[in-house]
Amino acid sequence: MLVLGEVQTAMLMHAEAASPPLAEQVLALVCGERVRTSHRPIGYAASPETYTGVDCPIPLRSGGTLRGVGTLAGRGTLTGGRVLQGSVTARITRSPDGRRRPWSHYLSHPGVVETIGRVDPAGIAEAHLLTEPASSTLEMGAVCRRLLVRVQQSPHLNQKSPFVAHRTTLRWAAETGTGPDDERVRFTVEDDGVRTLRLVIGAAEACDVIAVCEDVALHDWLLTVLLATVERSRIGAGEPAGVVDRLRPAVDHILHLWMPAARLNRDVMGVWERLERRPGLSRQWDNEVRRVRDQIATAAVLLNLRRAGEGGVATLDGSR
Amino acid sequence: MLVFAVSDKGGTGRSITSCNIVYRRALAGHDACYVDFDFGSPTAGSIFQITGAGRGVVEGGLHSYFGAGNAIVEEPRRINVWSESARGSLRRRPPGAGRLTLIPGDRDGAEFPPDPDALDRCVRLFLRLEEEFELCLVDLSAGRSYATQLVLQATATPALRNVVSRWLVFHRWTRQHIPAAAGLAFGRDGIVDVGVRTGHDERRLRDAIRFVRTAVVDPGSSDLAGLRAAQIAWLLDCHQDLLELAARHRVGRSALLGSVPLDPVLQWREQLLSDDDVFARDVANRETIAAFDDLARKLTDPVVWESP
Amino acid sequence: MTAADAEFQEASAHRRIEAEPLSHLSVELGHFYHRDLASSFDFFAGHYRRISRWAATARADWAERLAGRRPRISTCVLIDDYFQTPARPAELVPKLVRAARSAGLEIDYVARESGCADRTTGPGRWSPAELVEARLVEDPPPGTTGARPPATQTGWLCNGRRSPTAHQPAAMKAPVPWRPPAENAAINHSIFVDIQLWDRETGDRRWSCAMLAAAWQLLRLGMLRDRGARAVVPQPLPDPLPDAWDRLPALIQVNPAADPFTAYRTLSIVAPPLLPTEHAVRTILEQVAVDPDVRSQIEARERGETIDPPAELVNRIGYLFVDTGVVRGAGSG
Repeated sequence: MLVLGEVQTAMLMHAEAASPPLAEQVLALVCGERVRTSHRPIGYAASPETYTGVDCPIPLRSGGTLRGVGTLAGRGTLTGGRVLQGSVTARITRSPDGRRRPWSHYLSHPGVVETIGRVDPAGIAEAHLLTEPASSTLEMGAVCRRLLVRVQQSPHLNQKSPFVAHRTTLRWAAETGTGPDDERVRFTVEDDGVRTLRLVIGAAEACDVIAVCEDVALHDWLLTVLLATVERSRIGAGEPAGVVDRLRPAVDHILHLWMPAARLNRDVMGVWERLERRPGLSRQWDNEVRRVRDQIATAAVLLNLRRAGEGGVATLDGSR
Repeated sequence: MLVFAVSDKGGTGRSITSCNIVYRRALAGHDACYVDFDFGSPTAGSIFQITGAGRGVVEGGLHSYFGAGNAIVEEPRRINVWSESARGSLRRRPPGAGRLTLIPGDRDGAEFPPDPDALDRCVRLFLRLEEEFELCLVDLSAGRSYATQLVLQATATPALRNVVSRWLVFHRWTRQHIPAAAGLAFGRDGIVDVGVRTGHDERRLRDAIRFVRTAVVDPGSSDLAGLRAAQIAWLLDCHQDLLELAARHRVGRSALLGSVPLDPVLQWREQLLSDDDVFARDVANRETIAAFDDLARKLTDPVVWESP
Repeated sequence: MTAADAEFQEASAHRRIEAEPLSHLSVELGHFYHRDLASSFDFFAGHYRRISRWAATARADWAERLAGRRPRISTCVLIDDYFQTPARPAELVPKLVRAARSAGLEIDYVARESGCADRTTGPGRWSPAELVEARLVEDPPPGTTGARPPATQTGWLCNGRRSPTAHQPAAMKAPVPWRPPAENAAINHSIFVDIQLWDRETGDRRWSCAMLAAAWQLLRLGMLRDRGARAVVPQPLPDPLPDAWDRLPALIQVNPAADPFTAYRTLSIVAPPLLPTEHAVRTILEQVAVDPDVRSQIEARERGETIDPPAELVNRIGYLFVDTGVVRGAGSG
């Protein structure tokens, strides 16, 4: 099975972390359909699936194209009431007859794009990760953006982010059903918040593959935001109080959200295990978190010393 | 924060000053973006010295996004100035600086009449930029324009009602420009008038407008030391006269955000002034950069934006 | 840990779909417009006499398909009370039931057309028409990449590519030239339809007949759910019948011994002037993505009865366009 997808990750535009009822309200994108929520080990909500019809050329690595007809499946998710994701996927299968069928056929298999012509899974996967946005290919990014804007402009939100955060985009392609020796995971960090993930894994359901890609996108975004915050804080160059001020939003809003593989099925756990070995996302995260905490501790000590210097004697609990 | 830059007349230095404000904000560590809503003449690319985008991008800019009923992109192109400027001193993001992004128009783009689709797109664009940038400066065409009408409608919608929006009205420090700027802000079919018609609260909108004086000759400046006493006296008289005129038109001190001095570099070459231009090459004036810094800082200074 | 992983589930993370009782076939015994509803007993009796032989054929067809098992077949009538108000229920419903009986037909269920537009008693209180609209996935013309939202003409749905609209061009730009519309599934030549789903003639949203009929078909197929719950459930016949239609439940069970209202398939026996409306209904239903879980639940039930489920939703819907007597007021839209 070949599954293509794109995930865009953003900060929810709301001053506070969304409560579970609020998360349900903003993700109710299809009337009459339920928002799925879970509360352990971390607050999570997923909108109902939305579908977008496509009939367009799908590029191949070789430079050729195949015609693809079907629907892209999309959903919005919210983790920790704070991190918003727009996720769009397509399972690619080969059409049994070499022509476009009535539209109702495609709606009987939502989330599937049938190719007219021979499927070359590796060629389609590589091209999906390579292509610059072009008008002739599946525009999953545009569908992601529409999902995100629908949530962000919800009247239930106050459109006030606690701090601005750059969006990240993860384009991914997964082939399943390979033998254990052929499993591969390739994660690439590109410019301007773009990342790619290529998976070749054993037997796994499409929904679990989608879940692991969304999870990688989520944690890569957290790490990206934290790194940017630390860089802007001017550790070592600015006043300690100012540095702490600039670090505070991260402490208040994202440090507690790191929880890799929290809701994943065992079939796809291996993807995280490989990513933790190299590049070691958790290692880097832990390191940055320690740096943030050290800065805050140091600033507190300096503040106390200064107070002590201004008069009175500092005691162990910081009171005078 | 959304900041809208307008002027009643062309040639006020609105675009060049706005670009420099955005640049100074980014240098100060904020993610800042410049949005070229001067649809009839999208030339902000030249100020940032973006190769191939001096008069707008070939395709995929704001005109392709709004498209006059036939939009061809879902999101306008973004140009990362730090990586795409042809100017060496801009091409590397200084440590600790924020993102500096230009959202250009399309080459040969034209003004378009507002319609419900354009309004919806405008709201989505601003919301998206508000999510990702601390400062989003929208440069509007001179005079009463469709673009101004569009952004007034957009900022009155529920999705943008909570987003902080501020207006900067640029004008030259002359007898002709002062009443014109006041008219654009407070006159018939001006910003407040149209804003109230589109659903803005009059008081809030008035409080969100400040004026920026450009190409100001300061009679007290040491640069004028070479002038004769009579010339200085005359300049002082003119300046006093303009101050009174400004106060009469309600564009006086309390509504002033700042002034940009007359600087030959800005007059002859519309470009960003880098610290390099002042200190290493000594072609620009220190006061000009100080003025840009002052404007950039005051944009978010709560004291400045209290009710005048 | 491998084999000994704990099992953990949270109730709200999983979806429950309420099951409906299902017949094999739901037969709609004609459709009357408002003007016909004021007619005499003899008018209705003649109408049902013409329909009864076709209804009997449908019954025989299913008896043969099921090879000896008893076919579960229910009949229904939809009363147009949405666009105008017909004679009061206490008068009209017994008249229709008696007229049908005079032709050997039993009316099992009576539905109000405005029941497809009214808020239901479901958890989200969405109307069936709203539930259908939310599930429309437009048929993409070739070249659709998803880059742009479907070129929705608000309140309209088509089966192809429209002619470009004459937008006011940007200043000093040339207007777009005309181009014919095209049907996506055309074989050589196009039969392009553009269907109005609703208007605002009366201020509020007023659904079109085609949209309400599409909701009606999906209700009969048991394919509409409001957060997993059945959108409309048949209610017993109130005694006495109310004087006003809006005090009648959206769907009433007239015959206590009837087979279930919802069915694997529907058959509508209607007069040929209704063909344009039904073409519109099909075009809408071809673009409805029903909840895959609801579909698979119903398909599993069919397979349990050794019936092959049709591959596509629209293939569950059948029509007989036959002379049912005079039909006044019929037309498209």
